[in-house]
Amino acid sequence: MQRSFTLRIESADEVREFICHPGQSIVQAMARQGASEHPAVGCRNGGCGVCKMRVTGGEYTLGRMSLAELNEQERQQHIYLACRVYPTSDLNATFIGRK
Amino acid sequence: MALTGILRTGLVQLRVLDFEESLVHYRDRLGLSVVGKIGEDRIMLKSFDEFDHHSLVLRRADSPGLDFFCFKSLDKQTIDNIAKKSKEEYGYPVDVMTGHPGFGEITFVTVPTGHKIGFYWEVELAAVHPMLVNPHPWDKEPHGMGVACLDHALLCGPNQGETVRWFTDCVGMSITEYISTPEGDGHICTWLSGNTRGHDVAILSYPEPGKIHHLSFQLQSWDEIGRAADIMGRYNISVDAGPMRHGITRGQTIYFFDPSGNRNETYAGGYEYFPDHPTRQWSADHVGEGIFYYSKELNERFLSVLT
Repeated sequence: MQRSFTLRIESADEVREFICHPGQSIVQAMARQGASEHPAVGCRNGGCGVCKMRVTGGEYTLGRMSLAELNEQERQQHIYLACRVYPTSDLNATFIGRK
Repeated sequence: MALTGILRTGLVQLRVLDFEESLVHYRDRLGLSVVGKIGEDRIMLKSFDEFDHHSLVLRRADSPGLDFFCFKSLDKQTIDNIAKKSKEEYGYPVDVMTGHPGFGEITFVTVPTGHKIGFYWEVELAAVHPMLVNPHPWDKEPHGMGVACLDHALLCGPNQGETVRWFTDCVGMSITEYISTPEGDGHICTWLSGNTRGHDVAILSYPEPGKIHHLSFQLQSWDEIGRAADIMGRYNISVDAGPMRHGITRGQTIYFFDPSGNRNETYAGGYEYFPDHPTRQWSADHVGEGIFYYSKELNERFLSVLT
């Protein structure tokens, strides 16, 4: 069995840790571990933009996400829609949200 | 003779990020059928209980959301009147699209919420449609959730009051229900009907123009809502809320998201509306039970997550 990863998600005044299984997105992992009302949990499918985060450490792959919610400059700064970020290692991220 | 010149929600074009995932969702899960392609970037679909050529177009794009929302209208006169009044009295942009497969002219009015609202009356009978002679309930049994037809949409944008006035005064639709602003000086959200449905469209006040909150597909019963929920569970579809009932319209419902983040709804029941019925009102402090009748708790996601 593949190992799971630890996510450290920083938002507002708290840092929370979540277990993420291979193939899960950051937001899926959060939603399934008691954070379903976290402001990052929106459409979960790369469209609405409420889960915008800056990934500050760790490995991951990316899925499709709305370009209306994310510009090139943000991508260069490792800012993505976290529902389409699939960790492949332990990972740290800071919640930004939709402006 | 129709109740008004507006028959129903008949054609919607949504943007999606990917065709493969979107087809699994709309065709295999909701149960629509593919009618064909328009060029390389658009796919036409329809539900089993619709007569017209198609009702949903998915357009591949780099962001999700709504391209346009159209009403099947009674006749040319209805549409000419709306176009003339929209242009001359309201000063709204009006443009006509020709050549949409299966459809005659579609007349679009761009309203102050930022949406393109279309009207058409000529459309070809679909290749596969409800049976007409000694009809069975369906020609071929529905698959997936088996949605019967498009039902309505909730559109969001600025200038809500002005747009609602256009829907009533120019298009001739009726306000079935509304939620007042806390100050009581306008509506947060307004539900509008052109026929006997509780609503064909609802308009929510929102700062960004041209947004869609959800596109709704009709199911026939609470049992079918339950079965749709099972399909959502089985295939890990992103569920927003439900199964539940709305206080407003009394519909039974599930909100969920397509693979590009557009919110969908499966909707059943709700009351029949006639134009002589009084308008139902909700105060801002009762909005929770208006939307989520059982939990009565409005979650943040419901008001902030849009495409």
